[in-house]
Amino acid sequence: MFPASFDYHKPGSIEEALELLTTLGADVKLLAGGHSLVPALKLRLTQPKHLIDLAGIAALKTVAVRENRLVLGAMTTHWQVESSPVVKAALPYLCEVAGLIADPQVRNRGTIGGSLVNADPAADYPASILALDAEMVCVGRGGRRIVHARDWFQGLLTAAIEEHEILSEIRIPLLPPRTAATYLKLRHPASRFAVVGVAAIVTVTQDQRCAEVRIGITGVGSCAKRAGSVEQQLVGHRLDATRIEAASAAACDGLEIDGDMHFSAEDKEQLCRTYVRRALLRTMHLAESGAFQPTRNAP
Amino acid sequence: MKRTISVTVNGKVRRESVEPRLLLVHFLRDVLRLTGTHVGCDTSQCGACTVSMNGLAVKSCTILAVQADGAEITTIEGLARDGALHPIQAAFREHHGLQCGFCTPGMIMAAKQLLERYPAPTIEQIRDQLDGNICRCTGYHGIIKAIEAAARAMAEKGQAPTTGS
Amino acid sequence: MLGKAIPRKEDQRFITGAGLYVEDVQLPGMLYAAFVRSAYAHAYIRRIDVERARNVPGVVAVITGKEWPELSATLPELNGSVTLTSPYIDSVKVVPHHLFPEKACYVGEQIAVVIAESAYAAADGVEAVEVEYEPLPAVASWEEAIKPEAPRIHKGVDNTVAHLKHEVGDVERAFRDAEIVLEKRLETQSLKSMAIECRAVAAQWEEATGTLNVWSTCQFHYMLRSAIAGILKMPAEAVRVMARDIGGGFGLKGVLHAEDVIIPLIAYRLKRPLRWAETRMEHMTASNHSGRQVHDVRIAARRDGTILGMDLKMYKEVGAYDHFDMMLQINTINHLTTHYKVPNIRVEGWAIATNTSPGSPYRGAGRVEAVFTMDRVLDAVARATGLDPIDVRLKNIVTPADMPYRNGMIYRDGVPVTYDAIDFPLLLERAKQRAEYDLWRRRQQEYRAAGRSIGIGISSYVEAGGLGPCEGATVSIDEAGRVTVKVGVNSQGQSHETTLAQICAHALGAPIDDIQVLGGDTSLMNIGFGTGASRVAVNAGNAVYKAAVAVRRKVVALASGILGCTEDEVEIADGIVSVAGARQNQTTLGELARRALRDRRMADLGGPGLVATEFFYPKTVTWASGVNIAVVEVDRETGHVDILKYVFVHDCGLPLNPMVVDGQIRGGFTQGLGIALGERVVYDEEGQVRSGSLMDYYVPRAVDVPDLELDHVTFPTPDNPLGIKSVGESGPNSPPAAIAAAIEDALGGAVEINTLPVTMSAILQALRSS
Repeated sequence: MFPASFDYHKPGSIEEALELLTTLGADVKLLAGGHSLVPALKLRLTQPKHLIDLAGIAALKTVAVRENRLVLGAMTTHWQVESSPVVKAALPYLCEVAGLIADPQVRNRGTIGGSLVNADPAADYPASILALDAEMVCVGRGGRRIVHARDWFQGLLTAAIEEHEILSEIRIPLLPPRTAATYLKLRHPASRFAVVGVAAIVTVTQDQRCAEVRIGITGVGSCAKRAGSVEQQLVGHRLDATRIEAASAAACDGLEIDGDMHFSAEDKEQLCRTYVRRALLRTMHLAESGAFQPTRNAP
Repeated sequence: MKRTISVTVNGKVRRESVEPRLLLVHFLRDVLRLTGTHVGCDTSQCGACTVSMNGLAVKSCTILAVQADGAEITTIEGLARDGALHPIQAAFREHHGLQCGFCTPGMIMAAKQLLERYPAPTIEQIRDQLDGNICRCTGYHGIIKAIEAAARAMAEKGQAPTTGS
Repeated sequence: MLGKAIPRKEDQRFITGAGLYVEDVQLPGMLYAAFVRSAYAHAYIRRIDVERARNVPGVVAVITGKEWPELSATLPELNGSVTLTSPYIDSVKVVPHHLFPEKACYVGEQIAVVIAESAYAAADGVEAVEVEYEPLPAVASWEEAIKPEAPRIHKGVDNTVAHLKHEVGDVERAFRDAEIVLEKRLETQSLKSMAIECRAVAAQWEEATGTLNVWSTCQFHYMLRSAIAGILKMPAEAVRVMARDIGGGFGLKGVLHAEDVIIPLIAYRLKRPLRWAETRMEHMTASNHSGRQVHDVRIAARRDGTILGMDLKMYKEVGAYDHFDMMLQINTINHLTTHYKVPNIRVEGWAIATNTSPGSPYRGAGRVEAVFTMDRVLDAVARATGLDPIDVRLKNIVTPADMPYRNGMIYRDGVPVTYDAIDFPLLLERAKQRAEYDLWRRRQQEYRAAGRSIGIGISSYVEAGGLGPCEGATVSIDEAGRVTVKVGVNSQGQSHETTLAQICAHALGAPIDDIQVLGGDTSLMNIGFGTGASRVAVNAGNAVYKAAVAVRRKVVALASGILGCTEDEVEIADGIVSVAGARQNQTTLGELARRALRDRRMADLGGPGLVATEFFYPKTVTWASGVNIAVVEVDRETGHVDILKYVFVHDCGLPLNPMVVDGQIRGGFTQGLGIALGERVVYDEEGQVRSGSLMDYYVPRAVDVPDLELDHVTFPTPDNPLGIKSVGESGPNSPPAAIAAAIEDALGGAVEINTLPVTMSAILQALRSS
């Protein structure tokens, strides 16, 4: 497989990249880790005239904790997230999520920014980005814009980023005390993408009631979604198996689930409900055994 | 428009003028004539093209040669030192870790990173870390045995795995 | 040396990246080819506009079938170079398969080829070729193709292109006598061999010697030589096909595809070296696949579990061109009864053309279908009678007392299928013990009470291997004592360079390190057949043995004269030739080889030098066999199958190298695991390929493969000097049947598993509908 011809640009700063983005015309693609884009180029599914490689921009590679947020530059690779001491200290949950993406070689190159802009319906990160209530910082020539996770995934392969913008960083609020988190993924036998992936993040009160819960689902719909109806049935309650089971029945609400050659729509609905239930059960098991995520500093 | 890149491959600096669309795997195979790195799929699944780039195992079919400008790359041809096989290579032979040999270079390069990250891996870790490499011949049994044996051999020799290339 | 687990001689080059696969062949002035392929499963090619493509930078030529007369040639009609006869068949219609057809009959069929200075430019050129199609209605399944109103794939030819039937005993009577009659429809999926190396071919016209050099990934290089020489009207010796390092074959590369011929023809015309390497996407569309096979089976049995008769109707999709007549179905029939007595059998089969790439064998070649049918039948009888599946098997098993046992089938070499010197009950008992069958049966109940779904599945296979007609080998010793073994077969990973060297070392007394094995090059041997049908160890192995023995005879004759002893007193060990009891009186194989060049005594020993060529003609096939037991747990909510235990007991005669045998079984098992749980070529109704890449076609990874408990049992065959049987195709036969049975058992009889693969989705669907 051989890509069609294009010109290659490697700017050293975000400003330079934005300049190129506006001057090069319409047929431009940003190159992050390249593990969705390069296969698409090889299959000639996309034939841009210009590629702008973001690898030379140091500002896109931040990994830091600032103001109770984990800040990840868009060019942070999955392996960097998986192995970063900073992430491990602030949000070890995310290390686990990153470690479940694709395979080690792909994790060495694929980036969180690339994944979120590509918005593949079966990608792993989106479920957690929703459940973590992250913010995406988009930079354009007019300045920067913050997009909340709930507004980010707009449809099949569509994220809320404008044509001449660059996703610069992802800001993930650190979790409140007594919060447990699970990402449960059914790996596609062939592609290793998520058939269904459920991120469940639950904050419990001292008497083990659900103070706050966010559930993100990837894989089954046209894009990742929050399981709002499930969440509503959980807040304020003790999350025993019965409550979780009952609430999980609503896991597919608001998802447009289509069958494919591997799983029928019915299969996916069943898997989605099962995975939501199991992810919640596992999260509650973590909570009950005191295995909470690290806590943000008091404001 | 061609671009000149400078890549250190198996310790040698190679300066070449390449089309931006040239994949790293074709740069290695067709330009440098290092044909030990193979192509087995179009979609980054099979891992036959795995090489080490700046100390990380990568699929060279999913990287443009221009992205490797300034990088240090080790291919299967660069693994043996002064005629002596790398312990992983020797273990693949000893434990029947290959049949047709086509996936083998990529498998060995993936195993190299695996042992750098997990010097004393469990079988589960070995299986998990090989998820980016497909072998159609062996059923993986000999490969897993070889990697376990290589880990022991490297530990005995005190050959602390390096993270560099 | 024979029977020892020594590391492989061929590994050194593969582990250092020094192997030379076809895509590694690079010659000065080399050009690169890329194919324009049909976007439709069925369409007339009305116009091919190549003008724009010719102007693409780097493009040297765009070639259609009209370019030169030889491009209007057809592929050889029947591909099975080792198929000797076709028993049972009463009609076959062979449709000529043109290198460049005027009407495309499957997606991915070649329409034109772009030749360019680089593979990138060739791909650019392909994109610039404009093809005007006149699409026709397509049929992508046998069910559609047999409908009276179905479009015809080939004008004037019925879509049912071949038919066979065979009867043993009196089936009608068996059903009249039956206390139980069962009916089942069983389906096995279509598969791709999915070697990690796709197909490739390179060619170069060598003006100085008048030789067309061809490098190919094919398993049958002499067949390719014949095809090319035939079309170019050249002497066969003027075409040299080299098929040396090949990255896996598994059947798909045993077939002549159009590109294998087209590339050499173009290289010859252009007088420029030319290379084409298939992409995985081309592999998934244009390359052959195994074809779905559906069995409608009726079983007559007694309430005590005795099977009285079987009536089987077989429907096989053979794709757009049937290059194998009904070979796969014949294989199914000849392996159908596995270890059991089915005294009355009637089979009838149809080969049905579809608008897909042509069908061809995949490792196992009809055996998976046979085993899946027999074991599903035995399990159905167990369910109907309430007997344990083991007891039903013991009721019907062929015992040593029944040997030699004939099941009424005729093999492809025309010889009646005969089992001899095999103890099937022993294999079953060993498997039962190793699997702790009774313990798992008890656990199954306990686990079930705890809500866990555990199941046990049993499967038995036989594997006919070593199909003739023959193979040859030349063994020679040079003046330094180095031994060269030349064979007419090639390797796709089977370890010939080691195992054949072991045979030679054993027979000749030369050190293994001094023996090199050369194969995969038509210039080495005048005649050879190739690698497939689990035939190399038996055919080439025994040929090497015979040739080494012949050379040894010369060594002994010459040495006795030189050392002044009788022939009986000559001993050879480690390359040293000495007189028994007088070790100081010795010489070496190298010294004798030097003397043999000019010594007149060689005139009576077949000529100068220590060299001999021998052929081995097997009487018929050998029968390897085995029993598998699987214990699985099914997650009823997700359909996920976890293999808790897998026991593989097998016999392949005397192993040449137990490590290699082990590798063959484990690798084959893993392919069987893929067949059981997910591998599947899928076409939509229009004949478009839905399983177009490794994103959609499942191939087991390291995390998917359970630990295999392997138990080697040895029943040597008396049919060849080495007592060896085949092993190459043993691995994949039983896992699909054993795993499917275990899944059915785990689900507590709520559903029947009659279709492969048993995907998670299939399990979920079955549970929902039960």
